[in-house]
Amino acid sequence: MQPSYRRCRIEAIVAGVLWFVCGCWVVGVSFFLGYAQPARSVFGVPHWVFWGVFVPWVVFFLIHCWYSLVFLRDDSPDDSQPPAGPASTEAR
Amino acid sequence: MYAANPSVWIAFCLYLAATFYFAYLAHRKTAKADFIEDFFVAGREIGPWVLGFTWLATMASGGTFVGSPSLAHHYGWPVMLWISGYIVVATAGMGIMGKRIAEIGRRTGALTFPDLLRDRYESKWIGVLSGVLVVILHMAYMVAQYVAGARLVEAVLGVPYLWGILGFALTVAAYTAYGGFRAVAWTDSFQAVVMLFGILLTAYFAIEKAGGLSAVFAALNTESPDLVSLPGPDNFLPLSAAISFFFIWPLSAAGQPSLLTRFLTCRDTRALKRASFLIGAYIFLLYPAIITMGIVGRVIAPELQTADHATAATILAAVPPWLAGFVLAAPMAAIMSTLSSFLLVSSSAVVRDLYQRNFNPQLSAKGAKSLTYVSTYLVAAVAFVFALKPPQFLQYIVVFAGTGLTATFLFPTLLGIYWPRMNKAGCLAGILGGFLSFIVQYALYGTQSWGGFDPFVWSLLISLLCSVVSCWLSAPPRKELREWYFGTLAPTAAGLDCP
Repeated sequence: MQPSYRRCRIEAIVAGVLWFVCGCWVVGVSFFLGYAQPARSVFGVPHWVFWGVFVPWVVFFLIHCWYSLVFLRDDSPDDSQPPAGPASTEAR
Repeated sequence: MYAANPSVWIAFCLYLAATFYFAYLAHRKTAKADFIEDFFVAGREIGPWVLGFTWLATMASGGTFVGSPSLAHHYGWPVMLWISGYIVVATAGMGIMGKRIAEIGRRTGALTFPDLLRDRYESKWIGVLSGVLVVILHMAYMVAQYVAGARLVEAVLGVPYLWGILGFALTVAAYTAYGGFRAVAWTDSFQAVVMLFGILLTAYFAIEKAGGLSAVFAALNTESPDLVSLPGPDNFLPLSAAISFFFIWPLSAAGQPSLLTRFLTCRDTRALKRASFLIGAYIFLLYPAIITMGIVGRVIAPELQTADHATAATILAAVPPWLAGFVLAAPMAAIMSTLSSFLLVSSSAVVRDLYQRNFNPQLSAKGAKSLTYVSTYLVAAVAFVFALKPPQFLQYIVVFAGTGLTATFLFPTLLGIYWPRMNKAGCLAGILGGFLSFIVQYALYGTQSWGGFDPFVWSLLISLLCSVVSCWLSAPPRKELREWYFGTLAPTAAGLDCP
């Protein structure tokens, strides 16, 4: 198995897990605070927006910074080889 | 028209002049290089900043800048939950699809999205089918951009709707055909900066004019508590729709051919990583601000001539006149950048995927150039005709086209790049299953299909099911192909046709 393929697969799975966790937070908190009770103001925005959208946005932005700059791994040497393979000969 | 002043005209003209200047620089560089590769993927030399900005400018369309604020103006704070899937758009787009597609693109030399599918599945018909569907679905997206642009200039400058769409069609087709991907990427970068600053300034001035967010909350709550609570007025966002949309936006970004094509242009993974960071930061700043702008607009500019005038009305009501022209260039930039990307991906599908790879593999640079110019203007003209009769809410076309593209292509692409067993039959079944089920649901149920979910959710599941079942019922791809895409064999050792 290509090391780059194996690595991409791990990175994709982690991205999927982050997405799922974020979805549970955003939809879950907004459901309990927003659908079931009248809105209160927190810093001028409805409390369900503050806890269910703005706070997770900040948290997952920080996680995204780590994911992009640290967790995504740089090229392996064979990863950046020049175009060659099924498409390239016919293309040019 | 909402009382524009001459500075708006001057700023528009300066903005257009800058856009054409970037296209001119790009054309000079393109003319010296291998036309096909340079025109469609800028010679695969795109660095992190331009990659990030062109991805963002393509994603943030007229729907984002004109359609979403209009929904926020109409439905209030529930639209913030509706848009919240953007929290993970950058992580999902880059981590799941971006890096792997960029890597495969560099290894195979693919120039367009249908190229990727055609080569992975070794099927001419997959190339043709995906090329045709790319053109059809992007056409719907382009119609939305024309409508957004025309409504903007109608609201701000008083230009009649018909002349507005004609102006957009000609302007964008001209610089796209003239400069190719490099022009689109450079102008996108310029436009992305204009977009961000324009929206941040508008949100700031709008909140200040309204007396702060607390005053806005109080005003909306007094007008109708539905504007600050879920599901919003007219049951705008029931729980099923909230769940659907949280997944729709990231999936829509991850599976859209015009965005996937961006990954084929990047230089290396280092560029992709930095672009990923940039995209996350940009979305973090832009999207909450743009929805807040629409919500505050309901308080400071409550009366609109048509629903999609919310952005223009808010800008003209909140921003000082001397700055309004510059800020109004932001939605204009969003529309033009997305339009140019869709034009390019559609014309590349016609020239490269439908014509060159099927009828004339030895197409000369001169022939490719002429054909690209003709197809770009032709695609623009067809979209122009469809834009003559617009719907009430622009954002609905955007959602239709974006989700349609993703329902059609996401799983055939995703499984193709990660699952060695995925084959031609699985890809064809996934494309057809996703596309046809999407169209049928829209025709029968509109935007709320079975269980109240968006048709996209079911189409995506049907596409996945069709792909997996058809794949298992047919023979696996040949071993050499699997080795080339997933194994450690060099292409020559794998017996593939390599230079």
